[in-house]
Amino acid sequence: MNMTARLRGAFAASYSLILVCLLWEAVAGAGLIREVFLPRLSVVLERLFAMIADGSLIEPIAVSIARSAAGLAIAVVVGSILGFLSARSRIVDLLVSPLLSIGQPLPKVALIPILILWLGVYSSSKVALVFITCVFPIAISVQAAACAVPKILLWSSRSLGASEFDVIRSVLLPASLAGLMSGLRVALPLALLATFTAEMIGGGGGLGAALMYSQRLFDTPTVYAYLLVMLLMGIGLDQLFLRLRHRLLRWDEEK
Amino acid sequence: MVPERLQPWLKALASPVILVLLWEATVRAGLVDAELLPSPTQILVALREIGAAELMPELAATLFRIAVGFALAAVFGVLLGSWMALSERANGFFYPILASTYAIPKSSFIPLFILWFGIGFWPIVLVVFIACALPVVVYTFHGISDVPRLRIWSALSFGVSGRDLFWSVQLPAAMPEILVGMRIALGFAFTVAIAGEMIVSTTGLGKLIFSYGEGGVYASMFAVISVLLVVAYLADLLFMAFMNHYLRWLDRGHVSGGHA
Repeated sequence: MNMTARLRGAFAASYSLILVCLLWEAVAGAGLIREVFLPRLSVVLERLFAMIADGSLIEPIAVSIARSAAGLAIAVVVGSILGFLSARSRIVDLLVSPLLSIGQPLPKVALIPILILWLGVYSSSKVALVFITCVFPIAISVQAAACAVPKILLWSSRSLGASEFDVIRSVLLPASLAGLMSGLRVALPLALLATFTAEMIGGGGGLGAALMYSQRLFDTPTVYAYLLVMLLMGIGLDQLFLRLRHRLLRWDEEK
Repeated sequence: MVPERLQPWLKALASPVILVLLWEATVRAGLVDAELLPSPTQILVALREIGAAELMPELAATLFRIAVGFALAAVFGVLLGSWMALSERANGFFYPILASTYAIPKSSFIPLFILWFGIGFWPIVLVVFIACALPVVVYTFHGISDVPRLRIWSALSFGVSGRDLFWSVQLPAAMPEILVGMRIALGFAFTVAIAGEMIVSTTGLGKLIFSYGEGGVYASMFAVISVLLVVAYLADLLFMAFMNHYLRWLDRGHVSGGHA
């Protein structure tokens, strides 16, 4: 593909975003909206670059990412085990499945005050909320994937002489990995949502707390700058995830 | 033996009941501090003490915000999602904007909306609206796009076109998908509404939970949280019942849980 065609493609894919940015700059620049509500985009970007340059962004980002990652990691371990076992054992299924289907739709943020009471306002209560939020979608999709393995695959691998251990290792676990990946895709944005929300409500550092703090000071450019950072983090994590999925599951590409 | 009719109920209720009994026993045996984790019976007593007169107005405030934000998002989401599915140009315009909004955790809009509207009804309704609109748009888009061509061609050959085609062929065919999107939206609605109330509101269940927590009245805090969780669960159950009723013409089993 030549350069102009590529440029044209990129423009077609993003012209509406460019338009929104220009409109934002123009409306705010013309003073149609008070600056405390909508500062010019260029002012927001300037603030963002200043925050990058003086290094004040690094700490809240690192804190929030560490909390999301820790909660997510625990949720992956616990959720996979719960999902896998409840797909394999009727008793575990009887005990776990009802709790999964009751817990899944509940608004977990309601638990924030309890978690603060038990674990304080710093990282442990945030990690706990991320775990509680993410464990449900992960367990449910691992369980669904492990249950959805066609019986014929199990029969044929057994009739080809695979031991029970072989069946688990080469048939059930790969199938559950695909389920884990689709559960992760749901859980990843939820992990960020849980972290930021807990930080906004309970304080204790991180991007969410920094965002609330700048709002209390009516420092609107910083509020918008943080929102841009969160936007980029969301997009970046999703891309990272897609690469990871591509590497691990080349045999099972999603459409 | 248990009658066959009751078995699914027994299966669904056994482990929650065991869990609650274990919880009660652990607290009674003094294994955990009852101040940090009140037992289910203590929570019920606290709930009676709070009483309906104090609880109902807050519950109504929360549900009203959720209902308004959700309803606005449902209408907006179905219209925008359909438009994007039917028009290549609309899709090209809105897709990048939606994709970038999608990446922001929705509760992060709360501080911005406080800046815009101050404290009260609108920042929470607006954040509920934003959180709910996106899943409805996405699922509507897929629902309308995936309507089988054959069905559209046969409608066209019967002389149905334009608006009639949309309202009586495409939209009904997309309804199963759209309702799944709305169910996910309903879950988000409770989450962001409660988060919003904990951050800014002066009314609502979220505010009530938070102020009991700050006042150190933990049994009451647990009581209001339990009420909220039960209400959210019932809302989801009610929506699923509505889905199953509305989609009873579909040739398949019941819509099952575990989607969000």
